[in-house]
Amino acid sequence: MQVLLENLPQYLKENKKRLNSKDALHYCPPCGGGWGVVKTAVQVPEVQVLFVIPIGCGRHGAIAAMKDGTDSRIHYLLMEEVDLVSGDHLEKTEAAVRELVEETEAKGLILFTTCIDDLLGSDFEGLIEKMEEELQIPISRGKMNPILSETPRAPDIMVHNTAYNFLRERGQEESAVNLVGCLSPVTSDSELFDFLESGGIREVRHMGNCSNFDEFLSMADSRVNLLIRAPGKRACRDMERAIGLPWIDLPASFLPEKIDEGYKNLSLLGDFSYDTGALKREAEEAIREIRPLTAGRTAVLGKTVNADSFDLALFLHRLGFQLKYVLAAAVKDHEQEAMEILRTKRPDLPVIPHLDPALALRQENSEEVDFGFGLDTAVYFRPRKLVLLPFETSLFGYRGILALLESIRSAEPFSGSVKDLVYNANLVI
Amino acid sequence: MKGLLKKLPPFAPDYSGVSSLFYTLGGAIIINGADGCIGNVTGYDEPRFFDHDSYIFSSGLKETHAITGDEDVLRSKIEDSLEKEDLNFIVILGTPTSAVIASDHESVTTLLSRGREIPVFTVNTTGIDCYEKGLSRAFDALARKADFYPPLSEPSEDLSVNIVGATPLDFWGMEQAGEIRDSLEKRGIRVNGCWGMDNSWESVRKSLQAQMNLIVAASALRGARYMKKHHGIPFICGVPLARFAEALTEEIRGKGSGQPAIMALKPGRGQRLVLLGEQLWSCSLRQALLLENPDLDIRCISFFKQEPSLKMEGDLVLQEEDDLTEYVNREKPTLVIGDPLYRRLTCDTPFYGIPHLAVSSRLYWNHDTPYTGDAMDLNEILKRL
Repeated sequence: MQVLLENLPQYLKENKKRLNSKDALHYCPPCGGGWGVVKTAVQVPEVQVLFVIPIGCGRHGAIAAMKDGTDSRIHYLLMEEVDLVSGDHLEKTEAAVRELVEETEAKGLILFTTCIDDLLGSDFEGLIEKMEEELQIPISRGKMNPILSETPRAPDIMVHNTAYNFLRERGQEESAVNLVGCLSPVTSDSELFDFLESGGIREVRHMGNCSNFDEFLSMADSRVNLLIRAPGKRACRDMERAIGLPWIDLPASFLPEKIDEGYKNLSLLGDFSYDTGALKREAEEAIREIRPLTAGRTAVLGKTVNADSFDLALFLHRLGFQLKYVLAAAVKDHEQEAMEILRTKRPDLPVIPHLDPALALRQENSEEVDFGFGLDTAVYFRPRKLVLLPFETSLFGYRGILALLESIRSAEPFSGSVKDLVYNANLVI
Repeated sequence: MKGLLKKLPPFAPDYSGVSSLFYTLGGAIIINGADGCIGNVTGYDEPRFFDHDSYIFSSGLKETHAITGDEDVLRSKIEDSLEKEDLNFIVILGTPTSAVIASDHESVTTLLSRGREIPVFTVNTTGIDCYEKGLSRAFDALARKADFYPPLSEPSEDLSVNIVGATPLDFWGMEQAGEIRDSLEKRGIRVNGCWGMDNSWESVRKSLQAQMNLIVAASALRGARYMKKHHGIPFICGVPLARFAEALTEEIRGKGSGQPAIMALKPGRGQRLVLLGEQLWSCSLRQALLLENPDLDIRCISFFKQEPSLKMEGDLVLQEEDDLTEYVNREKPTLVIGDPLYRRLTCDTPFYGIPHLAVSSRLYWNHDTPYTGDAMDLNEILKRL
């Protein structure tokens, strides 16, 4: 069921803030996924990852990891039916943890459980405490429990906590900061790095860039966490509480006013001599220049993009695109403002929950549009040109705007295989 | 260690198996669980997703409903969400979450059946068992649906078979099923229908027209036995491939030796080959290889359930991934044939990879080498001996 933007606030109020209806079945095609908890967790270097699961829970993450070449550190302990009744899987887990730690040179271990241990109330915290003491190795609890998706404790949020739970000792490195919440590191050409360096911050850490566990642990010594994407917010709060590591909201956005605001927040850290003004003017000029290419063109914004849906939708509207639909999973707190602005400009814009069961029939009736943003748009529509914005590329700042504009300018007519496109993205629902 | 996978992925679960059989039959498949459960099926176990209309949904089970009971919620979600008007059936499948909370799918299907002219049913899956167990229940359920939908016409008089069991999880693509079909048809055997691939609800309804069921996967045996008992349709086991196709079709024509073609030749005492895969495919390949070289000592082993009556000396089911390593170290085969992922467990033993989708999912499902029908080339295997 699509919702017109003018009705979206009321709809969200009635549906407990969820875009995907709590009263509907969910359509979950391969294009509707994301990175999944496995790919995020395995970014912590030199840790072994053990999933305690029924066979039906781990296949997608395991195959995706094999395609990514990260599977050698990921293991699965399969639960049997009798375990559900007897709780025997706790003892088996202990044995499996011992075996993995003894056989590998693991610096740490992530222990993932699933929805069913949430429901069974299995005492994995006690088990972890015991095993940490016995094996003298840090163990972090992870949860792959999609029964909590679209809640404040959703797995894509909590997996950041799972990773950063390893950070214990707080040192002091004034010249280092962390990027948190973005699945992949911010692209190295972003002016963010020049800006930070102009204030004496020479090291910008992201867990995906850490080459070993000790380097990862050094993230605890950094001066501050920069929250780039919302799913890392809870981890930032918890790190502040647990080890006193402060954080600053610095959301990745394509809206110049939000980029400005982010740099203003960052300026509170100290004296930064880098002037973003010239780059801002370059981005504004590029926006003006591209308008003949974008004004009046029809476009659909998909959910499978590395951006916040309503933030990007407002940006595309400002470029002059005639947005036909927005597919989205949620309206996050920090995109409320963008959503409200867009609502006044385009109250008639249909928003489609990305798991809407009616999407099952849409493939048969796909509409042609000039531009599709996100690979899922190629599944449900027929975009003449496709801009992907994949999760592997985290654009940020004014150079992020310039990169996006270049992607739009250089987009070739899309004629490839949608199937190949989706499978090569290696997404996990 | 028992249950610990260090080299292999979790295999396809039971609900992937059921979904695989019903996928092309024009019904709605509802997987009652959190959205991650269905992701295994749509993204990793169903290669037809983008080539065939899909009407498969997750119930989107949430914690609140898992605690307070989900039956009414599930029923109303299904009633409110299915917009397609020409559905042939609705099938509800369980997942680990619905198993833990003991969702009463029978009651939900009973309620949904009221006022509907199409079958609404459930196949018992938990996400704890492997795909072949789900498939076995699904073939049985579909065989029983032949009672609901009587045959559209009388049995045909020409020699015709239903190919039963050719799902993508064992045969991964239309091409492989097409090779099986071609192999039969070129020998004058009409293929009445194919349960598992290249199929429709109408062709299932016509199944009783066939004179015989050709069972190409062990998981289909339960349904085949039901059809034999209740509808008098006999069945024969085997996958037509290489020269074994001729022996199998002779058996279909009733001109065989009297014993099943799939058991006709006994392994020799020469070089030892190990075939790892779906039992009927492996046993058929064994016969085909023995026709080329009767001395070969060929063992069919598997991580999946085997039909006891089709096992030969040395055939066995492995329980844990360590078992395979121990087996090759002990038995020292000349060659192991199986899904390429098994190579991780066979040390330095020479290996010939033939993908099994229930094991390696989409890692190899695009390859197009035929491993069924007359087009299967055994030379690639034989020259490694």
